[in-house]
Amino acid sequence: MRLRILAMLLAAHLLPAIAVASGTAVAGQPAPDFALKNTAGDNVRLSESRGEVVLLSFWAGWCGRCSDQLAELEKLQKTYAARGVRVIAVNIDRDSQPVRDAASRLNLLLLHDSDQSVARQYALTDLPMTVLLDPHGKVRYVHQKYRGSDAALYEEELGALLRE
Amino acid sequence: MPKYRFKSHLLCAALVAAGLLSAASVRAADDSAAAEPAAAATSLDGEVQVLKDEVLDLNRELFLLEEELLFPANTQVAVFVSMDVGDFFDLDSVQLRIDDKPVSNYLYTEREVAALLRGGVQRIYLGNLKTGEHELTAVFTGQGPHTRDYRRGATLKVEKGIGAKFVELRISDRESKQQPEFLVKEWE
Repeated sequence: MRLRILAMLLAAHLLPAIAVASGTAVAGQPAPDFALKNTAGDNVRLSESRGEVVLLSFWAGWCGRCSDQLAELEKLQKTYAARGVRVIAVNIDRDSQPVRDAASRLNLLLLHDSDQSVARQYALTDLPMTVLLDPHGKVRYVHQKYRGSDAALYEEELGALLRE
Repeated sequence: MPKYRFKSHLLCAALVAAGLLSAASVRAADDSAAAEPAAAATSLDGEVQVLKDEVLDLNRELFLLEEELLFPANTQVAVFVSMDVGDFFDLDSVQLRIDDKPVSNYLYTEREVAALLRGGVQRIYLGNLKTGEHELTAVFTGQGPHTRDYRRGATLKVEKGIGAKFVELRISDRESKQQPEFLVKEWE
């Protein structure tokens, strides 16, 4: 009986870990950690942003909605950076040209996931995909695609996370 | 008249005493009423604390059990990275291959390199290996002397027997050659 309870507890303990290891951005679960290069060639690790509210956006150069979203994210970054918000835009193109182009016009932390390993970790299905993390590194909100009204929604959710 | 005055004084004293006594009893009743929820809250706090401690203990036991189940000691192999000085090498990444199969590819941030240089040791890989001979290759990339891109490999043949195997990837400076040195060695 004791062994059965222990097995059940172990299963309950392992299941979330398996979900994270298999890499899905599930609200309430810790965000899969990763390290990628930024446009300056330095390595940036997601877990080093603990203590800040993180808005993670996956995008590609061929995605029109993504460039609309990036412009809005830059505005959000400007408004909320001093309050502890970090916007990280992860490009998933194999080629680095779209990232270089974006770096020349946007003041955002741009990372390049050229082998799409991080995109796989987050089970990316649609672009852009936006994940909001709380200061403990847990996934709190996940959004697929982008509409103009979503910027207000992100702002509302960032505000809620900052107030916690 | 004095008799009457004495009686009135006695009555006043009795009234004041009665007033004081009733006030005191009311205050005592208030105090006990306030003390009851406070005591209940303190005991509840205590119970919550005990429960939290039990959950932490259980979590620790489950973690150990998980590690034992996933990486039993007789097949376990752990690989660690350490760095000494680092004047001739700025570490960017380490790729680890076991029997020509990539098992870990780690990019180091500035903070992580600083931690290694301060004497930190990082566990880059924990896995299982069958008993027998295995080849472990580590490829280090970064910037060498004069900020040139640098890529070096180091290989070690390990004999996995019964019991856990620990391997260290050590990056150090070779002063005489003004070059970095990469060592792969087993911990005894």
